[in-house]
Amino acid sequence: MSRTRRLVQLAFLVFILASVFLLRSHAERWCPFGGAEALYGFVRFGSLPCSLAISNLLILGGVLLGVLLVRRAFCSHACPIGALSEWTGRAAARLGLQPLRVAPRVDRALAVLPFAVLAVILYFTWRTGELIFRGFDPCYALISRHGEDITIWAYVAGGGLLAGSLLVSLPFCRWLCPLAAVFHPFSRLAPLGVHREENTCNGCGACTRACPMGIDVRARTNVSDASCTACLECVARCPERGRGAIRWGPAGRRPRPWTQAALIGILVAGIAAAAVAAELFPRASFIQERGVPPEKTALLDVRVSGLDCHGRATLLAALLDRNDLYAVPGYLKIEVWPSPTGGRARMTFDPARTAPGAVRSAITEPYYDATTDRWRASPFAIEERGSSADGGRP
Amino acid sequence: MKTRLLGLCIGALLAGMTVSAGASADSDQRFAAGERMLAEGNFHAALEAWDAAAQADRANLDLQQQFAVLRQVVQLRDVIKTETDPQRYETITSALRAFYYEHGLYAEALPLDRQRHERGPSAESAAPLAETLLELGRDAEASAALTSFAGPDAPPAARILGGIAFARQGRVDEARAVAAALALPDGTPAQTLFHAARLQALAGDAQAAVALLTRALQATAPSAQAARCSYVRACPDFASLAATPGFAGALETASKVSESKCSQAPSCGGCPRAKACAQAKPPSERTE
Repeated sequence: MSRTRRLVQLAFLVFILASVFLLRSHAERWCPFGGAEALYGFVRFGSLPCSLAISNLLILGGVLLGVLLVRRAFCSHACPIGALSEWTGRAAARLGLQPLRVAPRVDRALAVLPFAVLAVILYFTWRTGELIFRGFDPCYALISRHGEDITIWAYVAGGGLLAGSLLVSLPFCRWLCPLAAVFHPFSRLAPLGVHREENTCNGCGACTRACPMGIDVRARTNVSDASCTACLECVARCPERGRGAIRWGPAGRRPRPWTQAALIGILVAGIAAAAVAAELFPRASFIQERGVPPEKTALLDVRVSGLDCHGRATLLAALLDRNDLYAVPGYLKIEVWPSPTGGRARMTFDPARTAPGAVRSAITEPYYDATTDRWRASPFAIEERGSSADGGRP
Repeated sequence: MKTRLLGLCIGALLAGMTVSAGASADSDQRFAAGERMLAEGNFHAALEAWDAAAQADRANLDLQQQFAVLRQVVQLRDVIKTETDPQRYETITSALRAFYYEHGLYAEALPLDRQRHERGPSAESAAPLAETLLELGRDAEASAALTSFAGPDAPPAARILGGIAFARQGRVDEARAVAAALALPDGTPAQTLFHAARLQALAGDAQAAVALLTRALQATAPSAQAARCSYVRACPDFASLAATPGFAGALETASKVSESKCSQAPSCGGCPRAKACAQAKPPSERTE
């Protein structure tokens, strides 16, 4: 059971590292916490912070769906921070460094911290519209291959996280992780969980000692704690599990134990479904529309170098809204997928009033910046891959 | 064999460097010729020269950029003659004026400023007209342009330019009176502070001039500081400050302005305008 889980953890970590370092992909857009950070801006302004995409929201949805069914199994099977913390703690234990047991009262008090961390991050992110904490985020430092806005504090935080894991079991996951706070209400509602049969349990306490989240499993018949990560360590360590002293599955009078494969299947299905949905329905992360669409519209769909972030998408919109030689009169809808590897832009316009060439010129020609009273170069170049087509009413 | 191959490679490299250097020198010459034509007011010939310069050195992005801007300016000069939409007229005149000032083409800016002032006379339109007249050394005309708009209730920019015109005409007491009455709070635009420094320099208060110059440079965007400093070094109005302690230091002043890196940086991670970006309104709602 534990071995299977470790293999799943390793598979996820290898997949992430390979995507980041071998495929050089933009892994930040697959972070579920990015979805939580992006939600407000997306609902309020229809746009997402820099580097995030609709995939973040879909992954968050997929993971939350998993949490609704199998609690925080994402944390114990897929999260790279969870895996690294756990392996660090395990390595320390092998070296004879036993983790400190934290008193239940202290544990309960510290368990409030993730909500505070979440509140602070969401408040400042939503207020500024920017992922202002990412420079301090060790996970972002990894998946961005040390992006340009990474500060030394990201590595200090990463070092602290691992050092803490040497002393206490999963300190970040238990007392700091803001994603855990997002999961909390969903995890509580999950129908699947760990159940202890009092008649067959010998009360040895192996389950409580095995729980990396510090849950006193021995004191419960149904583990409904939101912090349960469905790691199934308690089940694996139970000497009486063959007699049904502890099992994983739905609560009920006639319990039927679920296999770990079902748990992993649900988790992977949620994430995979979100990833597929993101590819099938690639909604732009920046959308602006001006005017009323005419009966007949034209479309210019192009790859644009230099279109690598939300700020650049705003600049692109400003260039298309220019009031000079390259003005694009009439209806205009701008949809942008910014990406560090070169973004995509789709402009829907009125062909009776604007030619596709004019739209291209508006994007690439130098412009007069009234705020600084200077002429500036456009940072964009159109890569000739996109298509122009006439379309009906969008 | 190896030696011969190495010799061939070095020869090819040197030939490439020579061709490249030749192309660069050729484009520099054509560009300089274009600048001379611009100074003579021959925009079409200048455009041809810059086009040739850009063609000769395709790797020089700055040249391509300068050519693209001039191409727009040449077209805008025609468009402005028939433009009837007030907002578009204002945008185009500002764009043209920025180009003229960047290249020191004050004689080209003058008819533009005059036309703008005639369309709607106000202190706001008189100030740029007076500024251009001062650049052309037509101080009495600058004074006249500001006569109705440089009173105590006028905007600081108009009063300051009026003061500069007085000083240039030898009416130093009047210039000092204008300078003494000035109150320039925090948030005053860099250009106004810069002119105020000019006025103080002409009025003989070197220390006040240096202090205002420092404030002006602090309020100037980092990417515009070099041009501003070179203007100060060349401007005769600041000549009296050359021996003033602190003048050289003032020209080294660091900007306090946060500048958007949208046109330069590879990402907006550290962009000070990120908030404005995230909450950007649709184009039709924008007021800037």
